[in-house]
Parts: sequence; structure tokens; C-alpha cells
Amino acid sequence: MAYTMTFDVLHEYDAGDLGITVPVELTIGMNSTKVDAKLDSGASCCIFQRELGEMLGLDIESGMPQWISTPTGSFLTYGHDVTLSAFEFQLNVMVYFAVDEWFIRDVLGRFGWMQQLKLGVIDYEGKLYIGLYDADTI
Amino acid sequence: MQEDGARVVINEIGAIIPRTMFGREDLIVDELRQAGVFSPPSAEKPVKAPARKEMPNRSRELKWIKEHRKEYAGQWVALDGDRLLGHGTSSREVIAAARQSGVESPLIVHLETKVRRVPPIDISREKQWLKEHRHEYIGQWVALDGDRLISHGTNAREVYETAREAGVKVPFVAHIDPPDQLPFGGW
Repeated sequence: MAYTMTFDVLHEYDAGDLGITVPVELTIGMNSTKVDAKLDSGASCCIFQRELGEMLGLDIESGMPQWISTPTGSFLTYGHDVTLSAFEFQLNVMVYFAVDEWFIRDVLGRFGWMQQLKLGVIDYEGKLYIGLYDADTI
Repeated sequence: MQEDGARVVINEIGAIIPRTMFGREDLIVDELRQAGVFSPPSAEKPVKAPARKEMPNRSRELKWIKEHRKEYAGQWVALDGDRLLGHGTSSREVIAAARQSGVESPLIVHLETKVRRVPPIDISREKQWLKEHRHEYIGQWVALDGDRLISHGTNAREVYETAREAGVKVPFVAHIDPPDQLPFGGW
């Protein structure tokens, strides 16, 4: 059985890079910044470095606490409302900022972000197709 | 160590209390206080780390969202299974309600009404700059505007603020990691 899907955007990335990198704009209030994040379907949510949150004026520990588990242990994060633009879509997302400064990854994960989209990957060619998830039309 | 029959002697081993002071608790405590053994009580309450609970399966939350998406469109919702803990347009209030509920791992999401389309984010010039110059700024944060370095340093916030003061409204920022980073393992 064949399946057909349609997408709105094609994002081309460097297939030789470590991970699928995605340019992202984060906005909190009047503060915005652009960063290079990694797409991670293994991450339950969007997790960013503490310093990025502080840079945008957040008091990290005032957010929603959430422990995140990894194969080698767990770490504490706090969730905050962030306007996140990626590809051509702008969404309000609960982004979790790591408490510890050793966490130096910025990842786009599932709850709040990936679940609002549909994605198609041809990793060998560095092609990522993106569309909006719409339960009525998919 | 010099013995002083009327004083408590403090050294790196601990406190030596002369026999003459045995039983005189108030005097001993006063001596220790004067010697700075007791640190003043902190005005801040000790910070207690939140309970460590991993994220549960979210099937019931996703089902709830599917059924109530239109009803709560444009709002933040906090869910514990199919139980609504809080909702509203202010994420701050919804987070507060979720924390108040005592649920350790609620799902908090924004139910979009209409997703905004924005122009694509182009950081190709910034990435090219990083390729050419990253070795010069290992361990530092850099703020770029296209292929122009605006500021750099070890304090992310200062780097960002300097870039904003220079008139760059949305700077690209990156921390330059050492070149020998290992492959990314995901989660």
C-alpha cells in the first residue's frame, strides 16, 4: 500500500553535519534571538540551554519543573512559554530550559512542537519536508 | 597549640575546650560565635529540588486535546491524563495552576487557533562565518548579524545585550564548542 502526503516547506540541511540542524528564532517578550537547533524525534519536548533562556530575560527556576531522562541519567529543566519560529511556522511552545550549564544542546522535540507538524525526512540527501498537522485534512 | 584556660581554642582540627569551661555552655557558644564558627542564618530558604518523576505516557492527554481543541483554541492548557488542571491565555497562570495542583509532570501545551506563517530564517551567512572563524572563539559565545561579528565573550547575556545595543534586533547567537565533539546521541 502506498501513502501520499503533501508538505508546505522544504528545508535543506547539511547531511554530513552532526544531527539535523534547523534555524530557529526564539522570542520572549521583546527579546529575540536566532539559534541553530537540532531536530530530535527522540526528545519528548523542546529543550534548550539555560543561558539562552537567561539571555532572553527568563528567571529559569520560575517555570514548570520537569525532569528529563537520558540513557545515562536525568537532568532537571523548567518549562517556559516561548514563541518559536522554525521553517516558516511560528508557534507558542512550552520550551524546557536545562538548569545545569553543562547542558549545551538545543533540541526541537515532540510535545508542543513536533506534534503540531508533519515531517518527512530524506536524510541521505539532507532534505526535510514540513507541513502543518491538521487532524481534519491529513 | 597554646592552652588558654579561659578561652576556647580554634584550629584546623576543631575546637579545644579547656577543662575550666566544662559545663558552661553559654560561654562556650559565645566563644565559638566570636571566633566565627557559626555562619549567620541565611535569609533565603534552602531551595528544594522538585521531585524526580519522569514523563508518563501521554496518550490520554493527546486524546483529550483532540476532543477539546476547538473549545480551548488560543489557550494554554495543563493536563494530567484527561484531567484539566488549568487553562487560559496566560501561560504564567496556567503554569501556576499546574504547580499548585501538585501534579509533578503535567502536559502544558498551547492550542493554536491559526498558525502564523513567517518568512524563512536564513542563517547561511552566519554558518559560513562559523566555519571560517570558530577556531578563534572556542569556549565563547558569539553574536552575529549575517557574516558580521557583533560581540563575543564567555557571558551569554552580556554578548546578547551588546549585540542589541549595537542595533541588531535579532542577533544569531552560538556557543563555540571544541572541535572534537562526539556524534550526537539524541535522547
